Amino acid sequence: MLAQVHSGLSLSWSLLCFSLYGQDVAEWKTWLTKSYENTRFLDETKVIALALLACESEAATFRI
Amino acid sequence: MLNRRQLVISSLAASLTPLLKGCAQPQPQTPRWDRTAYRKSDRSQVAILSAKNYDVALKDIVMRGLKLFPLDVQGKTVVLKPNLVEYDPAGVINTHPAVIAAALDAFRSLGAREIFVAEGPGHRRDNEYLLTASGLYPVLKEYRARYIDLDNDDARPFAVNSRFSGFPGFYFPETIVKADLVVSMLKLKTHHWAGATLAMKNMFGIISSAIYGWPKNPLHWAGIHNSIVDINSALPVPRFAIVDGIVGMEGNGPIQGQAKPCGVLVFGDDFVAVDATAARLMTLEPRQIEYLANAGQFLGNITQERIEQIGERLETFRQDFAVIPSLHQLKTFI
Repeated sequence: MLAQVHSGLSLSWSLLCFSLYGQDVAEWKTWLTKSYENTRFLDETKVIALALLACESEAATFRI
Repeated sequence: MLNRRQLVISSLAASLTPLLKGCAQPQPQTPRWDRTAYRKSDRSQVAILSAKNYDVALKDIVMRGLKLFPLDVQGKTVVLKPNLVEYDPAGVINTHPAVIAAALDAFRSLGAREIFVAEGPGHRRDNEYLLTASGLYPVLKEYRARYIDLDNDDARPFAVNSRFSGFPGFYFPETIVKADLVVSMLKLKTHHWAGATLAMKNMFGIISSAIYGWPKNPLHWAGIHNSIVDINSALPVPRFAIVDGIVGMEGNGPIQGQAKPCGVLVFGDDFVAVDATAARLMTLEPRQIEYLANAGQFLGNITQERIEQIGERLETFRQDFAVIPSLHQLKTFI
């Protein structure tokens, strides 16, 4: 599954969710970086913003 | 003050009175479009060209098709609007990337200044996934063509001069309304609600889901046929259609049908005439398709007598496309 889904949107959400449940997300970050290098997320602002949140603050994004 | 019983009786009376009046005396039919706003031409031209499979020299065929029409795209902005719905490993749902590549190449050769590929997918919100999975992304990269997500594009309102859906107007994306030419690049497919999904139905994809919701439900609630007609009548942009009928889809389209090879590309600038021709290629009666029957009254030509085939003969490529049981009337020819 991880190898098949390359979109920034799905990888960012996956990274955020897995980190929220305490999983190791290093591999997700690698895939997300590769995805950005390949497509630049089609320059979609919302995807870039979500990817930044996912990489920078991970689970903290959703913690109150 | 009205009590509950009186309220029910007066409401019933109010709703039944016009109905009963209608039974007693025939009401004059209100025209469903402004007659001054539309003037369809006496005749239209459509070109069917043979294209056996996706490995043949598609650019040459597309060039040949485009040159049959008086298109001047020199220095102009062209928007290619494919039918990109859902990821499909069998490659039948969406307009094939090879056809889009051929169109990009051809319009560039004809001198187009800028060519965008634009779509507002109704099923998948994740454009990057859809583009990479469908194989369209490598094509965009190769031709350095920009993709515009119409679901999130800026949009502004345009009035509609026909009254089928009840929408007073539609918000159309800036990318579409600023284009000099919008090319509907559709897949030859049956559709379980509309009968067929062709050049006119493909324009659903220009309606922004950010405004109309996912998957553009208000358009369906207003009646899919009605919305198809009103969207096409309101769109203030020159249009052209290229049908990917190399492999079409029959049965439970637009997503769950089966592949049906037909071996053609179809070209035309009258969407009604293109759709009528495409329906005939699928052995469907165009006048049994509600949106086409309505559009044929004021937007374009639907009858065979008014559509000149300037490519190859329709009969050479006609295939018997299966339809779901509830659409068997489409096989009844008028």
